[in-house]
Amino acid sequence: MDKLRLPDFIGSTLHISLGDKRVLTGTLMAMDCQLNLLLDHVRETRLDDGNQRLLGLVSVPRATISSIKLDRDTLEHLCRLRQEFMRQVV
Amino acid sequence: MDLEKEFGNLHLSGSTKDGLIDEKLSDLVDITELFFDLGKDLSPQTIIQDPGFNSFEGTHSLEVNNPKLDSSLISLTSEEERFSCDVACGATDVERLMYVTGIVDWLARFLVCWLNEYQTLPTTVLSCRYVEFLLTVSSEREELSYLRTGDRLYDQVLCDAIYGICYFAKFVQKLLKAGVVFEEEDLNFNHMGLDFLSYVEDQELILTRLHRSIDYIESLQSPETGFLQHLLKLICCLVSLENHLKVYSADTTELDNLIEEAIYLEQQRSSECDPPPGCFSMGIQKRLSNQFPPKHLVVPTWNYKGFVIMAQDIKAVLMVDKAASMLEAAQLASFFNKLTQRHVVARALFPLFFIRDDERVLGRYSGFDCINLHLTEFCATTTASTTILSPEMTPVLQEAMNIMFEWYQNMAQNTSRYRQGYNRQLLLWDALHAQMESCEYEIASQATGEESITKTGIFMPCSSWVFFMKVTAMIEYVLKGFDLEVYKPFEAFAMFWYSYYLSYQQESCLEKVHEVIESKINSIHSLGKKIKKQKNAQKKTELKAQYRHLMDNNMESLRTNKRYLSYLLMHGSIIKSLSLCEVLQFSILKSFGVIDNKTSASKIFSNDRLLLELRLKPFSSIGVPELLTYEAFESALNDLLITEPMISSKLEKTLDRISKEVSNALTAIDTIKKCINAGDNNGLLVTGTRLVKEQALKYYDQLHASAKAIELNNAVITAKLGRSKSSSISDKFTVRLSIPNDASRFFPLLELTNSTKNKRVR
Repeated sequence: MDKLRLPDFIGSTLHISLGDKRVLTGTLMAMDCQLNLLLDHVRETRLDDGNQRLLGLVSVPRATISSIKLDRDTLEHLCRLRQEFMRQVV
Repeated sequence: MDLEKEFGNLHLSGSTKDGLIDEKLSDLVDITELFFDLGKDLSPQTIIQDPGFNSFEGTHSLEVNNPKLDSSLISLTSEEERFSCDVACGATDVERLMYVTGIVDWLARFLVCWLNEYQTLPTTVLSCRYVEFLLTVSSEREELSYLRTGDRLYDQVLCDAIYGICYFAKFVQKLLKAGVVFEEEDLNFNHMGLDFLSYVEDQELILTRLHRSIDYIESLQSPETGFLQHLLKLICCLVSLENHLKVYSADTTELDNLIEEAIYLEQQRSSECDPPPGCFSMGIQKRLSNQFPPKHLVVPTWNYKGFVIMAQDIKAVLMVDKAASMLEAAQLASFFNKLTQRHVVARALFPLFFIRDDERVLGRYSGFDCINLHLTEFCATTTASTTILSPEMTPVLQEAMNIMFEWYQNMAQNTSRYRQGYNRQLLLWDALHAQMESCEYEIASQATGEESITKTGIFMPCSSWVFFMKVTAMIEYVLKGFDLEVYKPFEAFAMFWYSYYLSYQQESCLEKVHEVIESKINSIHSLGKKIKKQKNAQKKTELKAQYRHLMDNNMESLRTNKRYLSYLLMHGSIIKSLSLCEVLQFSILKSFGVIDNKTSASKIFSNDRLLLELRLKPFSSIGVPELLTYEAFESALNDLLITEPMISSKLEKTLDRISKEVSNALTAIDTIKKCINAGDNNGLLVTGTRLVKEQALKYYDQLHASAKAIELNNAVITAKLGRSKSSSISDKFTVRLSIPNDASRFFPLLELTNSTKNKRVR
């Protein structure tokens, strides 16, 4: 996992917890140097009442992020891709 | 479509998925630390993004935790938060009646805010908690569901009213989906993922239930129910509007009823009731799928007259059903939306009502009939019909029909799209012109008769019509730019000169057609003389039969053609004269140095030639009429400039010319107006404006006002500038394009105003 680089996460579905009991699930489209993220096809889930809704393209300032999670299978897939890439380069 | 469904289902399924969410979250790996570690050493200019992602799109994103962009942060009052649709608001029967009346009243007025004032659904109709609740529950069950408060006013009357309103909204959605008007630009239908009764096919069901509620309210025999009754009747009328599209009904009874109800309600301001607190809120923006920033609710004004506007505009559209000829239909299309932009529902309805699903025009004519009528109403019946019937013409006529349908559709567009539509059409007309000309030439060359031969060569009636339509589109495109305030004063010369040039080209074409028609009429008359001179009895009988046939079948339409062409010539002469007046006034102002046809803007990145070419770009690939070069514009202006010696007398001459052109235009306007008033059967001209008499008269009134204003401007210009040049004048004055009251926006005035800066403004 420590071989992964930020560009590897582009296109992955991230689950971002915000401080206010909300989780945003969306595809990572872009990020800047401060790690402000841009997610597309975002689904907002409110943890208090379970309400879900779609928001479209959402920018998530780093300061609002409590945690970033990734589906285990996706993470493993990304690691494999990175290892393969490294092997080819070497 | 699937995405829309997903949007719709999300809010329904969300609350039951707690377990699922927890389960999913447990399969996740926390990468926060890794992520932030990797980001530590990024250089300041770093942007990592998906290769297919356009950064510009990012500017439309919603930012979380930004109160202006994050709808989750919308703060609701405790009343709004706790509002329940399961309880009937109001402690007494009267209070409940007042509340239900208040809700329906707000919803009706919100419809006007939405449609007439370009507001959104979530800030108007969908801000009602009951609407959200009923649409949600009903779409789950795919049938109309009702409230269960135990109060019939809520459980029946309010629900029936809401379903009526939503059914009307469904009709508007259908109009929008037809693609005639544009989402956001003309109308906003952000349905927040809610299904607007797609499962209700039966209009009768909605109407029956509305009538049931009207009967129930009547049975209450309370004086306070009157307002609500009229509201429900108004909603019935709205539900019935669908018939104009569903069965192409031209019956205006329901529209008249709508006007009557709206006028009644407009006068009942004193009956205004407040809805229950918390019933209308921004809550839906917070709860449902939403790709837009939070927007405050609209405060509905007392706007029932908005329904009158809508109904009257729809009635104007339905008048097309009474068109006795394609000319009348085309004139209705030309004028109904020309001076003031019609209601969005009327504009969306027009092309759909005019060209039916089966591509039949008004349900009466096939596309071929339609184009055939257009051609024969424009030019000689006999020649055109021979050409039209040739098999070689079929694909060309098919193309002509497609462009004509586009022309009709464009007429209903909003004012900006209208010009853009013409821009798109120019190339289509030009390509058709080339195609038609080559086809018609081929047919005419094969023809043995001398029917199509004129003094100037082969007469091609269909190509003449296409050319006329093309040049009309070009003129309309140029002059509409003034209406939309696209041009700067320094560009006025080029655009008016070009419009003058196009009018001249159009006039030449029309004169040629007019000449052919006249010669055909004369040839029939001369047949009468031949009969008199003929001695041979058999030949005399044959000639008589031929004469009778021509008189019975062709003469009337030829005379109509001639009178219609006279109208077109007269109309064209108005445009030509007014354009020339503007050009001449520009030349006077330039001669005195108060305006120039060159931009004063920086020339580092552009120059005048480029600017002109850019302005005329839509015409750059038009074959005929040829586009004027930059040099041609420059030379035309130079020729018109007033220079030493004898400036005063040259100025006088130019002013006289303007007065003469104004006088010509005024005479033509007066003649056309008289003929519009007299009707096509009684005048010198056939204008085809029977169905849009009022709008056509207003249009020519505006041109009249413009001509008068130009004449007056002559006096103002000479009074301000004097009759001899002085170097200080250019610093004293500046020129702006202004539109006098009630004048045509197509011919703004070159108004001299005192310069605020001591600097020449171009």
